[in-house]
Parts: sequence; structure tokens; C-alpha cells
Amino acid sequence: MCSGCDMLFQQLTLSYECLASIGNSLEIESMISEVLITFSRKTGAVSGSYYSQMETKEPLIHIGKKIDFDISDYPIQRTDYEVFLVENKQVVILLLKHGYLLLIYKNKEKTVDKLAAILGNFQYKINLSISACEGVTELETLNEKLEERVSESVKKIRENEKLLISQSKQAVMGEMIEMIAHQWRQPITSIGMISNNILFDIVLDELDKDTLKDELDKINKQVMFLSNTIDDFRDFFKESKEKQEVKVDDVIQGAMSIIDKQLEKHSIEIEVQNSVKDFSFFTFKNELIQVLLNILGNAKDAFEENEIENRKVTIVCKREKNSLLFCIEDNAGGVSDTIIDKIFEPYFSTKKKKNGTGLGLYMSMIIVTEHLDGKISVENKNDGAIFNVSIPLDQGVSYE
Amino acid sequence: MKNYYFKSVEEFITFKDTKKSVWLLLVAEESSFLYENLSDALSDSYGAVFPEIIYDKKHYKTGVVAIELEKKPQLIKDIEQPIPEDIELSGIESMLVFVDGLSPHIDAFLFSLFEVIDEDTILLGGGAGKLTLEQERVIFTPEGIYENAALLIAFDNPTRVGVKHGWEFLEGPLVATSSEKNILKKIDYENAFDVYKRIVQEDSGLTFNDDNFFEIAKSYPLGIVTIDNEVIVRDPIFVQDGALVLVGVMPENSIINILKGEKSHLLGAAKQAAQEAYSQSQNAELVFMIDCISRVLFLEDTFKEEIESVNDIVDETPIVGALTLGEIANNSKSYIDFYNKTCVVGVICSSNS
Repeated sequence: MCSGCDMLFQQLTLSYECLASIGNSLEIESMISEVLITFSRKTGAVSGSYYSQMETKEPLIHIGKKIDFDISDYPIQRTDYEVFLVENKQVVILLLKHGYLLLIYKNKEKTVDKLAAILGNFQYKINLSISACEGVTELETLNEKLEERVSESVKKIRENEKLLISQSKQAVMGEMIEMIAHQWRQPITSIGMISNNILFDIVLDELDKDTLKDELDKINKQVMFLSNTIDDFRDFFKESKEKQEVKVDDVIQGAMSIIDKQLEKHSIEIEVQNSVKDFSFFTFKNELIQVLLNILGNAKDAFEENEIENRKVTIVCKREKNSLLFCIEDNAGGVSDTIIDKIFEPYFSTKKKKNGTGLGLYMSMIIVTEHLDGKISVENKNDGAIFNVSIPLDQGVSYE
Repeated sequence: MKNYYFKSVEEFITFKDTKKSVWLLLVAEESSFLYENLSDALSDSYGAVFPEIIYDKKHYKTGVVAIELEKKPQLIKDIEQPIPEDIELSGIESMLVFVDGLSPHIDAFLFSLFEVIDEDTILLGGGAGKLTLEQERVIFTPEGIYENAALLIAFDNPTRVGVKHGWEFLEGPLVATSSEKNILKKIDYENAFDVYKRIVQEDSGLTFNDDNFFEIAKSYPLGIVTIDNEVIVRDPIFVQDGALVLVGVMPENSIINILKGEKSHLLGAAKQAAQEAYSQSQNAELVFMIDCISRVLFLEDTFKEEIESVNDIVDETPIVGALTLGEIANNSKSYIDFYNKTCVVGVICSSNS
């Protein structure tokens, strides 16, 4: 090869290798580091730095020997590159849109002007690559902000769900008062009858001590029942802060103690098939009871709406591998296929007469899936619907 | 700077017991050197294992070259990690660097080392290891023997370095279109071995098979073209999934040539390296000859002429050294380069010169 060809080949080689090192990453440090390493190694520089602004004193990225440099000490006249002799070193400055690249050569004999001119050709591509990196960084920042906003929104949704649970409890308060009235009617009537009997006996002067004691015992029993009823309702409205260990039977009885009189009033026969009565597990007891009450309440309304005779609800409790299954089956006609996929959606209601809030089953779904980490589903079977509530068993499970 | 040759490490240990000092040991691969058996006796002894060693105009496959040092060498236990801050690297006139020659982290390590040494420190050295080309623990100190490590031996003496290889252009320019550290995957967008095989087979008239890769490849290294029209040689040592595994890193998009050697040119290059180093020296005390083992494999019996040609230049200055897996040198004017198939001659001068 002739010496001119040789030089041309060297320049082409340098141009190709340097050009190929630009823009290989969308992360600015990695992109500029590769450029600096390639430029300095291929051209024999002892130091390479990138200053992101003309005014900055500290380089954003540096490789090689640490050498202090302050560009404000040097007159910049060109727009692409400058070469200065600084003490015993040659300095090449490649000017960029905002900052500059600095390459320092210790070898005074080396002619760096031609190198600088070659590197000057890459100004546009480096600017473009830096803009691309900054664009990606901006996009990442926006993404991060978006993630933060999503996270905040999710937090708000969670808070709203909590509020909804509380509100839905309050919404059923009216129904509860009706349930309490039903629960209390019979014992209060009994107490009235007993006290009348006592009164008659006093008037007729037939009251003996033993009879009085028996009658007062009966009154006491009724008063105890009233007191227990109050406890059950009060417990239901207590917020469960931590999961507690409960027996499956306690959950069923907790729900029944609140709603059984209502069911009785609507002539609904209830059958409980509980094969895991004494099984203990950790759960939010009141929330689970609320779910059962919502489902049973819906069944009651469906019986009324569809004017069903021979009303029956069967509650089956059983264990399946690592979960507890509560199946509530009724014979109230089932759920129409056109709406069966929507009944767990918020504000969805089919209740014509009672103006349902549309929150009952939605809240049940939120409680089961979000709070109890379980699953809830509905299917039609025979002449009614079955709601399946599956609650996973976690630590602390034990048989008694 | 006193230096000795011993036929075995045991022989050195017997000698060492009579002379309290710090020692640098260059141990030849075929010496039956089991560090674990001798560690108790190797107090104040630092060194590395090389395929062969050089002492007084000869190269040896067995034995030990022992050089008496004034300062304790420093060990970098893991060259993949940043250089520890307690390693003292300032105020050093010149430094020998021996590194695990089969580590994939040599280039990054030398880059980091360049950043922290003084601007004027002169370096030379090479890659330790064995001709099995399997990475092993080959760098040792009184505390242990390590792989992926480096040993830094500082001198207060000024040193002059000459670097030459003598390999010549066969085919190029080609582009290393895909590479990762020391693995060259693609040349001109084709599997690197396919391109290499085509060119080398045509020139040599030989055919690569499963067993003869290095036997043929030792005569056909790759050369990375630099701006100063120098060529940094890279030695392909084996083929892995169509890629060429090299001793030393191959930056992606490097312009490369395939090289071939003439024995006379290689011998001439060693002489030039010695001239370059010796002509700048005053009061030469010791010559370190760091020569690539693959030059021995290529030059075969004529390799002794390479040592003799260096010896002719350096007059009566004693020569010690090693046949290495890769050679290290810098002239303090730019980065520390890691070469292959190259002859590095370092002339260590009297500290008063």
C-alpha cells in the first residue's frame, strides 16, 4: 500500500471504529463511556471526559487519568472542535449541543489536529445520541411518575373499598334493626306473658314461691337471650383489625344468630351441613359473616321476588386441600344467564321492590378476594343458585 | 539486582534459608511445583507459574528464576473487582505486572490500573498460566496461590521498554462485527471461525480438524489495527461454537487483519525491541524478557536465536524472563496494552542513573 493509501486507511479505520461506538446504548453513562473509551484508546488519549454543560466544572463521565481542566480558561472560537496545548499535554475539545467531550494526549509529538478534525465529524451523531438518551431518561421519569400515580390511585381505591365496606355495613344497619326487632319480638312477648301470669297469680292470691321462682327463671332466660342478641349485633359492627382464630361453626352460628329470624319470617328452611364444625382457622370473622349474610339476604329477596314456595337454603361447609369451602345453595330460581357475569360488579342490582344498593355482592367479592385472599363464584344448579366462597387456609390452622 | 536459576523450587528453598530476603519467583510449568506442599517454606516468596522461563540466554521448561527484591510485591486477589484502595501505587518509577493470563478481565484490570498509577510509571509484564490453556491458580504469595489475580512488583529503578512482534499482514481489513471480551464471534457478519478457516487454510494448505486448531493457528494470529499503524496481536487459542477464543480482549467493531509469520522477521522484531529499550538506557542492571510462548511454538528450535539476538544487543546485562500467555507494556504515554505473540524487552537500570 502507498503511504497516502496507508494514511487514508488509518483514517477510515479510526472513523469507522469511533462511529460504530456512538449510540450503542440509550443510557447516557454507558453510551458516552463507550464513546470515550473507544475514542481515547483508538487515538492514544490518556484521559477522556464528558461535561454535560459548558459551565460545569466536574465531568459527568470520566475515564482514564484524572486531570483538572476548566474550559473557561480557554478561548472557544470554533463551533465543532478546538485543540489547545496545555503545559505538556495536548487537549482536544469536541463541542456538543450543550456540553463537550474532552480528550487529553500526553504525547506531544503526536499530531492531534487531524484526529480532532475526524472526531469533529461525529458532533452531529453524538448530539443526536445524547438527545435520544435524554429522551429515554425523560420517558423513564414520566413512567416513574405514572407508576407513582397508579400506586397512589390504587391506594385511594383501597381506601375507598375500606370506606365502602364500612358504608355497606351501615347500609345494612336498617335491615339489622328489622332483624333485631324480629329477634326480640318473641322473647319480649314471652316476658310480657310471663309477667302477666305473675300479675294474675298475685291478683288471685295464687302465687307461691316456687312458681314465682320458675317464672322469674324464664324471664331471666329471655333477658339473657336479648342480651346475647345485642352482643351478636354489636360484634358484627366491630371492625376486625387482625385475623383471629375461629371455628367454622362460630362463623355459621354468628351469621345465623343475626339472620335466622328473618329467614324464619319468610318461611325459608335452612339446613347446615357442616363437616368441619370444630375446625379452627384464621380469618376476619365479621367480614366473613358479612359475606354469608349478604348471600343469605339475597336469597331471601330472590324467594320473595320469584314468589317461591317450599323455600330452602342449604349451607355446606367442607375442607378442600388448602382451603375452606362455604357453599350456599338456594332454590330461588337461579340467576339469569344474561346477568350472571355481572352480579359481582358494583351498583348492579336486580331487586325491583327493595331498591337494592347494588353493593352487597360487590362488597362480598371485595371482602373475599382482597381481604380474605379467597375466591367467590356463582353458578346455577337445579332450580336455584349456588354461591361458592373459598377461603385459603394459612398458618395457624389446627383441628381441635 | 541479584538473580539466580534453580532446577527446582525445593533447591531454591534450600538456598533461600541461607539468605534472608524478599524473592520474586518465575516458576516453569513443568517443575513439579505443588504450592500446598511448599507453602510453609515460601515465606517472603512471591511469584507466578509460566509455560517456560528465561535465564541467561536459555529458556527452560522446568526450574525457577529467583530475583532478589527490595520491596514486597503487592497482590490483587481478584482483578474483576476494583483495585483496593490500600494498594500503594503512587511514586513508583517502574513496575512488573504479572496477571492470570487466562482471565477474561485482564483488559478491564489494566484499564483500571492505568487510571491509578502515576503518569510516568513504566510498566511491563505478562500473563501467567500453563500451556494446558485451562485457567488455574498460578499467582502466589506467602499467603496463598490464586487465579484471576495479579502481582505488582514495584522498582525504584528507571526502566526502558521495547515492544515488537514481527508478524505480517496476510489478509484484511476485516471487521470484528460481534465480540464479547476475549471471544470473537463474527468477522464481517459471518461466524469468525468460518472466515478465519477459509483464509488460513488457503494460505497454509492445511486443513483444520478437531485436534489441530492451535497447531495451525499459532502461525496465523489476528492483528488489531491502531491509529499509529501499529498492530496489536491477538492469539486465537481455540474454537467455541463457531467463535474464536483469544488471549486478550477484542473490542467490537475493531478493524482486524489476519497475520502470518516469517521466522526471520520474528527474530528481527525481538532484536528491534531490545534495541528500542537498550538504546535509551543508562547503567542497565537487568533485562526482563517477556516473550509470548506461542513464539516459541512457532519458532521452535530457532527460538534460542531470539534470546541470543536480545543478548547481543544488551551486551553483558543479565537476562531473566518468562514465556507468557500475553504480554503487558506501556510507554507511559497512553494506555497499558495487553499484547499476544509479542516480544517485550524491559531494561531495568541502576536507580542512580
